Amino acid sequence: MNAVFNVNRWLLYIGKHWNENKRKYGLSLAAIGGLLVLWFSFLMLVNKTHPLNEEIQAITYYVGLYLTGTLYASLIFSELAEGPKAIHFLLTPASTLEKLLSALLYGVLLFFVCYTIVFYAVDVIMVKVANGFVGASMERAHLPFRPTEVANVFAARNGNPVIFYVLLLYFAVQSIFLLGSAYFAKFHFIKTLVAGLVVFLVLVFFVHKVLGSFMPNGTFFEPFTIYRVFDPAHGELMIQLPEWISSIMLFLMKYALAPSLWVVAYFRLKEKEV
Amino acid sequence: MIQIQNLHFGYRRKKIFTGLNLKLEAGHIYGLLGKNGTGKSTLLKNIAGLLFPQEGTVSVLGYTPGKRQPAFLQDIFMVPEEFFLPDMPIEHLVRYHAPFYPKFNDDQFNRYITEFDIPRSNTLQKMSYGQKKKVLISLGLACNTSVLLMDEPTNGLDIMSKSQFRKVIAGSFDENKCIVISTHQVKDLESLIDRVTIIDEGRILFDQTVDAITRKLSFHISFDSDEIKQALFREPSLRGNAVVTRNTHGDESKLDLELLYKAIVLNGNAIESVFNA
Repeated sequence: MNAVFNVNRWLLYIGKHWNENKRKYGLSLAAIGGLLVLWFSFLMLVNKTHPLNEEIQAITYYVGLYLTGTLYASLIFSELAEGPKAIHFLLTPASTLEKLLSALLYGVLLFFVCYTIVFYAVDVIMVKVANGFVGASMERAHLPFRPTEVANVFAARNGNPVIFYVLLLYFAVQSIFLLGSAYFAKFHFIKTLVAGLVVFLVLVFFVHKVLGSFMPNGTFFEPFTIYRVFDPAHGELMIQLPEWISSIMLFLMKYALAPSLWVVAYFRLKEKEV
Repeated sequence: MIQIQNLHFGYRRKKIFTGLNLKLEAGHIYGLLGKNGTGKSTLLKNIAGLLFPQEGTVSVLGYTPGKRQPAFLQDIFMVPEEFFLPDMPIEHLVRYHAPFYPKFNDDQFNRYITEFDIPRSNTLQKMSYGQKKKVLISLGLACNTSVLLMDEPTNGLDIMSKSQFRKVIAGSFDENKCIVISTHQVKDLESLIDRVTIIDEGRILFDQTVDAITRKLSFHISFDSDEIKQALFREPSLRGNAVVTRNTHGDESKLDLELLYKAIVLNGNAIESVFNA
């Protein structure tokens, strides 16, 4: 028997997890859908002309994704804080990797897919409703009306790839909260938020005060791959890291942050005691 | 089957074990007795891999429990004192848990559920604490794991259920299994266990088979003042004195676990001398 990963055992574990949590997941998604309906209805009340324009839809999608995704991730391993549930979790005959992969499947992948489906299910209906209301009021006022389209929240705006980075950052931030759920015994969300902020501030302090103290007078440019120096004698100088180092560092920043946090969560689960 | 060598374990403010050694074999039902807070649950958790030794080793079925390998986990089952069962019908519980245990027997499970009088129509959340505990005990027994650990299994069970519990455990036991039952309700285990292990202050105070105990000690009510005076332990009761004496006649006496426990805790040296003689 493979002690690290076995597909059949993993599938069994996924089935068990689903059966134990399906009601909770269903209610959570219904709650997210309900909150989106409330929010869009509120927007229709306060904005009579363009309540659900594409930008608002995209902002709603990402704010909702960050809020619910991090909150949900902070609950993924919260059962480890409750003795009886922790014993049930740890003594189920599956490997730590299988348990972690199951949590990632439900908490990261399926959550993202289901959130997007719920968002669009609500968004499509609410955009139609908004177009109906706004169109009718414009017609009464004899004003021209251009119906709002359902936004593609993943499309780059004006060729700017910022959406792509917002999504990547989401998975990294969500992974921090997932790790927090395995680390902290209580108040996972708040403690992770505070700990994350502290780490971020320490990093900023380190870069600006510690590294900055032995760098020439200047600033980082394009986050960290270029350093711009203000030299009174030679004017502005750009110190650039070699292309291959920049590429590797950017690649790691984009794609390795979330997986590396999952690896830390794996070891945290392995060392968990009840 | 279970080997514990030089186990050191403690919580932040309290040392529990400082060099505990213990060997538990297949084919026995061990009664792990002791006062509250003496480390019974901690010992079971070290055996199950829920806690890790700070020093020393614990080996169960040849595995290191702390590694929590699936092959180990599918051959050990623990009924904790405070337990969790998901909210689902009994059939679903079996459907989604049994496949993890290769030796699970559906007929056995149904038999135990019937013997325990569990209503099958209810979901687990609608059951009382005692009923849920009986479902978990049935599941644990039907999994037929080599090691079955039970922490205070009779807590929350009514009088009839306690007797059903003893019957079910005795009926499910075979020589390939090792059952360890921790309790401070010693009366509940009488006529069930075949080895008594008493823990006190994190050390093994007493560890003998029931056969050896009943061969060497006698538990009875005495009215003989000389016998009462010379008894290894005596306790006044409404009908004379309950005493523990040396079994000099060679007849097997009936074990009184509560009396034995008190005798060991209050006059351990005298009892020990009987077994070392």
